[in-house]
Amino acid sequence: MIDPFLKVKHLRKEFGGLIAVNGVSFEIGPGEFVGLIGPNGCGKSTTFNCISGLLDKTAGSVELFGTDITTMRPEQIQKIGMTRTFQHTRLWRQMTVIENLLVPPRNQLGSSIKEKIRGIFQYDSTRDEETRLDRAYSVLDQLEVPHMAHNLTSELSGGQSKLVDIGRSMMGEPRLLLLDEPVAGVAGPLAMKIFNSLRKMVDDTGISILIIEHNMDFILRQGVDRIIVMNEGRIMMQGTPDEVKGNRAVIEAYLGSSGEKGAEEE
Amino acid sequence: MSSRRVTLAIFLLLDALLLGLLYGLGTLNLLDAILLGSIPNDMIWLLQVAQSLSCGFAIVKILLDTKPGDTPAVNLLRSAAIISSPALLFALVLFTIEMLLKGQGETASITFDLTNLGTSTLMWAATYLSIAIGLTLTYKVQRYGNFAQSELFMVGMYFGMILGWSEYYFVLKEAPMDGVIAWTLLLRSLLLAFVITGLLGVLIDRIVYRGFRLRDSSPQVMMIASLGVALILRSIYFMRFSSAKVRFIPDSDFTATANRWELPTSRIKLNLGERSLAEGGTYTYQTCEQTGIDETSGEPIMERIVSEGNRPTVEIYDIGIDCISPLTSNLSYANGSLPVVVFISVAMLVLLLNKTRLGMRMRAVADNPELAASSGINVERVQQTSAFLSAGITGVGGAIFSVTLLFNPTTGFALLLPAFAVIVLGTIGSVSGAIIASLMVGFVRASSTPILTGVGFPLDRSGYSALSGVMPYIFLVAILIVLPKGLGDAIERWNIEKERNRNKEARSLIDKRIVAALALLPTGILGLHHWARGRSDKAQNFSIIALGSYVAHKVMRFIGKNSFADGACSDSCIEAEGRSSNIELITSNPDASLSTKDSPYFDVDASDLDQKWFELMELEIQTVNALSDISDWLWPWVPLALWLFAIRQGLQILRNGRTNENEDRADFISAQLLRVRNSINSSLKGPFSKASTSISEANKAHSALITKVEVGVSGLLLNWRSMIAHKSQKAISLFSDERLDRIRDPYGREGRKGSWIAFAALATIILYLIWWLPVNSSPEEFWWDKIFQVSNVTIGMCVFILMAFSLNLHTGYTGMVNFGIIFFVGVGAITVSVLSSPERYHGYGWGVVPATIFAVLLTAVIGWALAFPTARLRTDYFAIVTISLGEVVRMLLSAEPLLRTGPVKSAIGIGSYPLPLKEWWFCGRGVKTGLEQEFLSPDYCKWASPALDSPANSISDLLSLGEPAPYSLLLATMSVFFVITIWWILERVLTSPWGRIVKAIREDEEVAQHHGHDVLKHKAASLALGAGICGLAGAIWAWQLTGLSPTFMSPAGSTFLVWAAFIIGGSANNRGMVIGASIIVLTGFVFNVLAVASTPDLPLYETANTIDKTFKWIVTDQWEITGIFLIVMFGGIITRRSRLVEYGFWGSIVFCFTAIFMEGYRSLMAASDYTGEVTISGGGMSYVRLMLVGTLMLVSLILNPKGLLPEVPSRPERPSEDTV
Repeated sequence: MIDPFLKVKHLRKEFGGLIAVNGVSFEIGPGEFVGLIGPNGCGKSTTFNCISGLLDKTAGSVELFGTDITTMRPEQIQKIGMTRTFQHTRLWRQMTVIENLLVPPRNQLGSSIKEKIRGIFQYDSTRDEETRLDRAYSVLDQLEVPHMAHNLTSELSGGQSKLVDIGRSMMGEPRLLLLDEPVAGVAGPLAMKIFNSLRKMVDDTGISILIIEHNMDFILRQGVDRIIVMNEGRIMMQGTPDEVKGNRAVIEAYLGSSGEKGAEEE
Repeated sequence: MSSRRVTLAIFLLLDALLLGLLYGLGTLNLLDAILLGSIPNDMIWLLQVAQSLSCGFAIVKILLDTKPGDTPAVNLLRSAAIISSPALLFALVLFTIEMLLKGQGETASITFDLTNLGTSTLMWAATYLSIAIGLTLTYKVQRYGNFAQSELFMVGMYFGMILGWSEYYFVLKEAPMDGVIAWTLLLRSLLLAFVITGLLGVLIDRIVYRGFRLRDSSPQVMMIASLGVALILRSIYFMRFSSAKVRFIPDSDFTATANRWELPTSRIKLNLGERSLAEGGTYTYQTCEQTGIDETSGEPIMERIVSEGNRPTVEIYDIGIDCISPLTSNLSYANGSLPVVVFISVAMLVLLLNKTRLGMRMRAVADNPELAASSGINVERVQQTSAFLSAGITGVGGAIFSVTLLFNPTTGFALLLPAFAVIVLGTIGSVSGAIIASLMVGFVRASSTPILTGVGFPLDRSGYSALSGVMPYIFLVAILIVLPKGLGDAIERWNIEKERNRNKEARSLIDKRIVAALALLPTGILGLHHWARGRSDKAQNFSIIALGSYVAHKVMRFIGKNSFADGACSDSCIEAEGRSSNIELITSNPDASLSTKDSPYFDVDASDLDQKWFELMELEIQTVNALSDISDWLWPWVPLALWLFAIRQGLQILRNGRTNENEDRADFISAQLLRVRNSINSSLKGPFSKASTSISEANKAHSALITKVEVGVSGLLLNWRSMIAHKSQKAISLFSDERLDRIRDPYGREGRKGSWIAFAALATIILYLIWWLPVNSSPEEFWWDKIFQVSNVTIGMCVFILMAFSLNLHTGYTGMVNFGIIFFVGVGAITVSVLSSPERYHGYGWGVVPATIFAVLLTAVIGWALAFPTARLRTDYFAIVTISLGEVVRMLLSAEPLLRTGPVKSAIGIGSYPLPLKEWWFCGRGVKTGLEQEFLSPDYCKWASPALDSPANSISDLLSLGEPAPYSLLLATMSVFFVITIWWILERVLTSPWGRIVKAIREDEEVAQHHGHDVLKHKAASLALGAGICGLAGAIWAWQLTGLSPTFMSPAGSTFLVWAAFIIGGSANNRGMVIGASIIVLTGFVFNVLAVASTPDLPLYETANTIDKTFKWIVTDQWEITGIFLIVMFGGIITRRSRLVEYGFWGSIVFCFTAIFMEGYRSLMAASDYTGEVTISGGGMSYVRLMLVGTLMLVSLILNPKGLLPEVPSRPERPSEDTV
């Protein structure tokens, strides 16, 4: 049995008197494409924030690639191999697209002092910078926005921003990617394309992706391996899209209200 | 985790206190021993005191940080410790002093006069609060930190003076002392100060901040804009009123010794340090003891007994030397009025915010402007109301403050930082927090005076008493680190908790008979029956009305008694024989009547002055009579009415179990008001509607006309333009497209090439201007003088360029708003100069090079260390911390003997330090200077005969200068070298991966963190690098100045100018920094030339004369200027330019006002030099420059927010195939 990439155990988060996440446990295996769904305010984003180290946890533990990351800070967690995006796309707006992509690569400054000085003063005479640039451009090629490389990200459209955000996350070479509603506000065909390329990424490179999606109808059709359904701070059920579709409780508690809303959005 | 931190803190505390201060065996002493005793003893104990106090704060912080434990006992202990922490910290201060003095074998006595401590706490609290409350409102509603708030305070301060100088009021103000206070001038100036300062606030808001709001600018931009506003306002006041210190005395009787309260007090004298006496020494203290019994009255006789022996730790005195009369502390009426006025106006503001609709709207806008707008609130109007209130209340504070102390235009600025301390301690945006915090900061200020005075002398630091002004800054820094969210946050959380608990338990209903009884009894006046029914808001209304009317009654009674009101008889009147009223007291008219004959100016015949005086006195009497009448109505009639109302409610409760809510008092009043308003409206409607239709018709016709004209004009313009385009096309076609494309940058100034081209163009202009700068010199010496001048301009520019580089790194690239550039520069300059000063001048005799290297490293380390406590603070908090640190160092420079070098140790300042390579420059290679050498100093080499073979002389020969080349030439060369090196390093560093990481931190810290970057580490590195650059800038500056005095660190002459350079030049572009800094330094030199241009043969005389004439014209002919603004306004109306209308309208209002009040003889005297001539030549020119800099800053922010050379984002190309 292969160890799971991410192991969340009895995660609990309280804000004052409000219990946002109430004892959530799940695992993400290697090369898995998992969807996390649930109605508004059910604690999806809070779960993300707790896993990525943005919020302190009230109780429970998180393990990433066998390392306990419960009390780690976000930058330490990223170094272990997990990157996340935010629900509202937060690009560095007064920087160009290519600059945005060049920030996340690991170990850019070197680890020893000698390497650091070299990394700062002779960065462009080394191979590393060229490799990074090449990789950044090839990511832009994949996302089909290489023509925007020299634009400020504040000049991008909403859909392009989402793409660049995903591309930027890839630059940190994560083995586990946490995406918070990556296709919210993106037109149908493009959203489909994003999902397809994510699927391809999972299949080709063997990374795992955990994706929050608000629109249930949509995610059921997009070929994720497994879906975790949250409601009121708890996990309601986990299973393949077909199992979720067949679960009456989920459909009653969730699809009934939010399904209609999703239809409206489309 | 926390227990380890507590242990460490306690260990360090004990290390400092017991081992270090008491026995000299602390860690620092050990370090000193390792360094072979090279750290001066004074510095060790100073650091140990700092260590001890910061450990105290650290322990409090740890207590606050730790999450509540499980057991109630631990929780209780923790809360108890937190609540008592202010007292514990105060005790720690005293205990540290005790240990320090014991260790040094010295004694200090600190005398606290308790009443005086209380009154000065109140006075300082009121002073700080009047600025802080304005800051709070601005923060709450307009959402930025207003650095011009202290300038609004300044406007208020001068307001009383302006009124007093005016032709109408001066008669009263300048009347000689007669024993009775005239209140008119004070009351009017308070009232008018509120209105006028408030209007000024609205004016500034409309002209400056509204534009930023519409553009959704960040709070930082508005904060920096407020800095520009502050510079402009302050320099205008300097120009108009000079830097002379004045005090507003509304009536000379305010200064009479009789007009004060004598309050009972006790004095506590603490003897700290070494209390046992040397062999044979005595210490005398006095106690009152009974020495016998008076035989006639049988009362005991008390006498002072002198006791001898060791010093007691505490001596308490509350009776005078005669053992009968109690000790008193005096509080003049003028000083006492400060807290009364400020706290009453703040109370009224609180009422306004909490109990009125306007207040509700303001709070709604503060919470969420968009939501407020969508629910039908006119957000813009609320913003303006808030601007009016926040400026007005600060203006009132300034006006009443001006009665208590001497002031000049910078007085306000010194109060701004403590006011920031108040709002930070009280949580930004919380009014109740600010009030409590102001009392705490006031106490810190008031109690530090006796401590510093008492301790300063035995420690050879008598100058320390001046440091009480910076105690609030130090307190601020500590507070930000310990309690970054402030008191208001705690209050808020407590309130929420209370509310929650209340909702949890269903409230037990109190028997309605008890409630009714509470209403029927006098407790109904305070609204206790509402409280018992759980309607605390209504209870509050009752108590506020009752208490408010009592306080108002008391204040008005007091004014009435000490005035010319009918039948008023003050204490001195009661004491005087046969006088029954105050008027009789001064006029000796038994019927208490006044006539022109009683005028103090009366001399045989009634003159104009007497008539004026008489009119004013009639006004005065009417005013104070009205006040007395109101006072009589307020008490007891208002509480009685309240009681009647409560009784009615009580009866209703008995009958129905509840009050009739609809007939509530406030609702009733507002209904009446509404009815009145409606009737007025309806009566006005007829004529108005007619007028409005005719106006709107006229309007339509007008706008049609305007459109026609505009179409015509634009058609003309279009023609013209196409003609020009055609012609220029021809000219351009001379160049081939290829050539043009090679020059053109597709991104303009925001591209790499475009930025360089723009830089080259601007740099050429600046180089030309440097060359153009005129010199006042004879033809023979022209070249020497020119070289000297150009070198000095260059050095100045280099210093400012380096500072701007540092600011750009911190703020432009890393996004930390640093207002403390001068802090790092000051530390660098001081370190270099003190370390390199020769030992015989109380320095340390280091070489210049090691001293410079050490200074740069030291500032870098300080910058690095600063990141840790401050990195988690909001950006504007960081700004406040850094500016405070700069001020602390500036004050230390004037008070701390360790920071003094020169032939005389007691003189303030650092001097007589060697300059780098100066010896080589003047004496040549191989010649040494010094006490035992041939030449005492390089300056002796300079004039050595025969001339030495030195670089200075060789250059002089080469250019035939006639005398040795100036040292500044060498220094200029070195600084240019430094600037180019640093620039190169920065360019490398900032284009490297690290550069883009810090930019990512600037844009969004949290996301940068999620992409694997340790924000704290990078911020610390950025701070360290920038601070190191500042350290170098400080060293060069020290070498240029050749002597450091505290004034070089004043923020207006350094930090703010660097900020102006940063804004003008362009954030995140080092080329922009070079240009911006050069412009700022050049203006300084131009105005220096202007300042000395006093005779026609000097350069720039004409310009100086024109500026002077313009100033004179503005000051003396204000009606003309009002007229010009009116013309502008009408021009705006005709051409439909709303901007022009607005500028014209406000300009005419401002100048109309100044024309009315400021054209009198006395006012002009205040604007004049000592000869009585209104002029700005000479020293005044520096204020013109400051105004210009402020204006440049504002204009740049408004019109060109990215600066002359905007940031150039990096756009690396795809690597070509063959390289990868």
